[in-house]
Amino acid sequence: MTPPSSPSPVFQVRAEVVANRQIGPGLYWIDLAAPEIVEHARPGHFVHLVVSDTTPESPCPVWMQYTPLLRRPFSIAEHDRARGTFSLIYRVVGGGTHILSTRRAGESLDVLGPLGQTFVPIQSGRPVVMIAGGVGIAPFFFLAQEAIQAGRARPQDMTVLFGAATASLLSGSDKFRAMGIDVSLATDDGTAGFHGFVTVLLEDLLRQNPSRCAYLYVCGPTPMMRRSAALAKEAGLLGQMSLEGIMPCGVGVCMACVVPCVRPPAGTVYERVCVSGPVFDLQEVILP
Amino acid sequence: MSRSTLTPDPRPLTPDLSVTIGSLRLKNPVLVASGTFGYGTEYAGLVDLSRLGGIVTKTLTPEAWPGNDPPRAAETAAGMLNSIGLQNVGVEGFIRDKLPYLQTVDTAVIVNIGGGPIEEFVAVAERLADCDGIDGIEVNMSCPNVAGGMDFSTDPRRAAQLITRLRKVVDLPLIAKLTPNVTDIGEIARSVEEAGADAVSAINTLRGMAIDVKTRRPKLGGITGGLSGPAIKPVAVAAVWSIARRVTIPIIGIGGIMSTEDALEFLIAGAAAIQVGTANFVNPKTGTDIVAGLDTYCAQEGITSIRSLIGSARVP
Ligand SMILES: Cc1cc2nc3c(=O)[nH]c(=O)nc-3n(C[C@H](O)[C@H](O)[C@H](O)COP(=O)(O)OP(=O)(O)OC[C@H]3O[C@@H](n4cnc5c(N)ncnc54)[C@H](O)[C@@H]3O)c2cc1C
Ligand SMILES: Cc1cc2nc3c(=O)[nH]c(=O)nc-3n(C[C@H](O)[C@H](O)[C@H](O)COP(=O)(O)O)c2cc1C
Ligand code: FES
Repeated sequence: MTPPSSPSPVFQVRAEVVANRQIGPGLYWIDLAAPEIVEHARPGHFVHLVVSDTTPESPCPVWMQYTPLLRRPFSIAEHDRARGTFSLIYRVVGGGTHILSTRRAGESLDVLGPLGQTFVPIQSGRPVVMIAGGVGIAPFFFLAQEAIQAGRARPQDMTVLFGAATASLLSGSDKFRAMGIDVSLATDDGTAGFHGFVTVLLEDLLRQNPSRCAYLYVCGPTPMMRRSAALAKEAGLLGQMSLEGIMPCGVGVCMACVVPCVRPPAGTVYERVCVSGPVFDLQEVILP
Repeated sequence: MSRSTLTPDPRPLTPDLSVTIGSLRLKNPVLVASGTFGYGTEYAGLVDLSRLGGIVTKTLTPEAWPGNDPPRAAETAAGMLNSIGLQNVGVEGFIRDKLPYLQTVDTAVIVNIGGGPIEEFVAVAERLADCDGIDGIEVNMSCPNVAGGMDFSTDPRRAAQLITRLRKVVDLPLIAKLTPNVTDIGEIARSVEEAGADAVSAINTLRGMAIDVKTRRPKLGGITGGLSGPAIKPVAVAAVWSIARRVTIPIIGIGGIMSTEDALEFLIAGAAAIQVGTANFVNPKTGTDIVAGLDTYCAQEGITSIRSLIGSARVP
């Protein structure tokens, strides 16, 4: 069972959009200024944001300003304490992320955060693997960056396995390389790296180079997380994964975002992804 | 008409926002709705709870309740569907872990109760009746998300039975929360008034459904669920209006309230107080913003007591 990390304060702020740029097909990188959130953000935290324009000056009635109605959750991908900014990587998959992609530098967004449980930090002398599918890569920039900046771990002890549908969606892999981290890529269409699932890379690594992985971090589509958790179990490997879910409130009040978790002796219990997660131990969640 | 003709001697005005629900006096008419504000603690860091008229807790059942299968929510046009299925900590868990904090907050605490058979409601109510720091009981007679949960507020006789039984064990203000999924909500309100309810709150969510056309699966694990948010506001205002024609007890208006204007509509239609639900997820400060907005509105309109607005609709 993941012990709840010490609760960090949650802020609701108007964060200025510092930059919002396309980094691949339907893939964006946004920088937001919110010093309070940045100060308390830890790897694994997410923010919940109103994608539409809700500035008090808007002539639109309130319900119209909040279209779509609900906030959208995104993992914090990077933070810059000095500038007081944090970054998100997002993929346009529907109306909300589309509207987000149209917001310009100088505008502001209503942001709630930092939210959720954080990753167990990368520790010295414990080699780790971070396996990601698609935008699941986002929290791992922060995870690696934080450990290196704090001088707690060496990049040589980290491996990133990064898979996506096609090469142009692997944007960001060079950032890990720049940090000195070993990156292996996989694409569904073979346009970059290994032609196939990224979990095959994990399987190979665990077989050929088990000493490279004493702890596993997983984030991506459900089938990929399920397979990774199964491989970890076979190898007797501990680790964590970061889950998604439909999140109306993001702070634990609505009970909508639940996943079944194994909780002996109670059996199976519904836990809220927004407050008990999104980071869970690999074997505790029963994935659909 | 300009303000100066209304009040020839315009003095700075601090409008009186207080209202009463039975024997319960609220400092202002703005409450937060059951199931959308947890047990108060979750939003304590973000919202000045003491500025709210009151907090209505998540529905409590006798035992902690696991709730429905996910997915439990889906966004819809100007609204959302939910099928939470009353996942809650149970009455003992509430008294042990949640109530001590709520007792320290300077706002009215209304505990919402639910259950299957009448005996379950009675058991929860009796247990709460022993506790300090509870200012009222709201009865969720209308949860569409648990088997049989809707029965009590779709049949006037069953509704009256439940309230009669609870009235015997509850001295606190007793508020019956009604479903809009009926032909004549005024009739149900009338029956709970006769059975001894101190107030009614309306509305709970409207039954709704959404389907993913690619997978052809319902978007909710519970298949159907409850619709809330701005989409339901006109339905809720009409419900308050209809109930106001039929009862003399206070009405608490709920449904799609996101702004001061929305809250005012309910008051003018006949509500003595309002609850903010889904809007809390969108902006946790909605309730406190509305309190400030009502204050400004009253001051601008030269209204000394917000009570004068209740049921003040001008109907030709
Ligand atoms: C803790 C957390 C962290 C996240 N981090 C990121 C991130 O770093 N980058 C990123 O691009 N996305 C992230 N997501 C997913 C992101 O929140 C959704 O893609 C977004 O809310 C979709 O909004 P939309 O209006 O564009 O799409 P919608 O119109 O709401 O939905 C479009 C499609 O996406 C699916 N979908 C919607 N919301 C979610 C969700 N929360 N999880 C999974 N599928 C969903 C819908 O079922 C639908 O098929 C995260 C989600 C969570 C819960
Ligand atoms: C996620 C969610 C959970 C809810 N849970 C409860 C509940 O436990 N008990 C209850 O009486 N009403 C519950 N409701 C209904 C609300 O209290 C309110 O009556 C309804 O949502 C309409 O108001 P709104 O449009 O402002 O949300 C819930 C609503 C939502 C959206
Ligand atoms: S999103 Fe509301 S409880 Fe998690």
